Amino acid sequence: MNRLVKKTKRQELPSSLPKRRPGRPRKASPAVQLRPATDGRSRTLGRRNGTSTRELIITRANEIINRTGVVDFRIEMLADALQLSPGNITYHFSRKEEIITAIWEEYIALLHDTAADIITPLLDLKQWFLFFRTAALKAVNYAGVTSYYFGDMGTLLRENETCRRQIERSRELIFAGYDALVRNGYMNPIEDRRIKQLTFESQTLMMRWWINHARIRYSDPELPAATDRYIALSLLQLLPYLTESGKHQLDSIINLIQ
Amino acid sequence: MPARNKIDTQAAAHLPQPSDKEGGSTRDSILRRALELINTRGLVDFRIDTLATSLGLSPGNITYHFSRKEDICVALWEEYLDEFDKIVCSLTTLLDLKQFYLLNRIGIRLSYQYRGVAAFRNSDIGAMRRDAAAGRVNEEKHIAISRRIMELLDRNGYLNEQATDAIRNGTHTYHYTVLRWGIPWAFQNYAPEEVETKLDYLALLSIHAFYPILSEKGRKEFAEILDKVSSNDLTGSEAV
Repeated sequence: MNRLVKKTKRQELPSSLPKRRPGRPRKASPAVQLRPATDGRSRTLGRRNGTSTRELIITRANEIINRTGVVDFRIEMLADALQLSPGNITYHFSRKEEIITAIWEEYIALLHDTAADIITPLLDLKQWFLFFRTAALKAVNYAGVTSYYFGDMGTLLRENETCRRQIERSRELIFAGYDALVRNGYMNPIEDRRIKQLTFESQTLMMRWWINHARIRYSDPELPAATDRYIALSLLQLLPYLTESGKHQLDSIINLIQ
Repeated sequence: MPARNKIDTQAAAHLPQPSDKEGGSTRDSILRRALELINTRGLVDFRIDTLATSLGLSPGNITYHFSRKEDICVALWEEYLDEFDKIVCSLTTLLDLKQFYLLNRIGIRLSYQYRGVAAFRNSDIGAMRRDAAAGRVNEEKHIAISRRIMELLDRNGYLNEQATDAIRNGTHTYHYTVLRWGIPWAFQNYAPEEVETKLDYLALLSIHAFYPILSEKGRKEFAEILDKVSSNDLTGSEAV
């Protein structure tokens, strides 16, 4: 409850970071636009009447890349979709790589924006599930670009430092989460620090790559329904340490999803 | 056996000369050098021209064998899959946690060797979409192997009995995800030059997927492996 209230308030706050994407897609709507978005277009663009061409380019490019992947994406496609000339686009971004970088930076800014307020003293397993869910659904909106950054050796090497900082940061957050769950009686401490580290890494790896597995396993229309199962899965590694009330909560999350 | 595999992997990863590979046909030397380039630059920046120059060939020599760079990628991917199939032969009814670890250790090293191609094939949305059917068949095969592993471990007393089907299915997904994307993850989590020294740890992370459902006996063995890996004592003082 408390979280929900907090969230609503947050959205109204003017943020120092440019907020371009709607934060969290409604559960019923497919998280990734799967077809040339005829009505998705009005939805996104409508929200941003008066935003700059640059932002329109980024938004639309992101939609296209979510469908085609980075490699097949061409500036001409984007110009067509926006009914601009390629020159209009290259005025803002001289190469497609620059657009991709801009989308990646937007995604990173968004992650920073959401991560900080999760670990409250009230943390329980259900809140944790919701937190992971929020983060995951945001990541889905950027799946085209993130999968490129997560899968191409060139980008992995170039972005190595950024990613290491991110992971270090999420380690602090998740360890703080374990502590809060222990204090609130949902979990026993993970005594062996090496196993604690393995648990954290399993969870993080899963949170970063579940989309890839989901895309291999499920067809586009099946994806939204599969998402919640993956999010619940991110809690699986905590099972050995859960107390009775922790297990009870995990069961009810799993039941709710099935 | 694992120690030897280690040497093979490292040799192939740092192939100094394309001609190193047993006399090698042109096609083969193209593939070796291409893999090396893709591993260091990624598939997106990889160009046939660069490949030709670094081999001292004309681009035409290469397009005679592979008309597009994607074809090179496919050939390397198939090589990787063939190699992977060989590993699975070592799955027997004697399976215990240590053998499971060794199997995954070989698997992880193989993925490392083919990292540029494997990471791309399993991450780029365009590539995945084009090969969706093949990708799914491959995934099903891996999950089937994972089920077989679980069945054997269960039979040999390494799993606890309370695990529900939902938890077991989740374990397979975890296991698959770590094996598949462990290498790109390592390139986010460690400095690039460190990654190669972390492969044993990644193999540990991949069997850790089973940790929530291990029995007492299983956890004891896991602890033993954990000790060896984290004290860097896996190959002992006299590596073969």
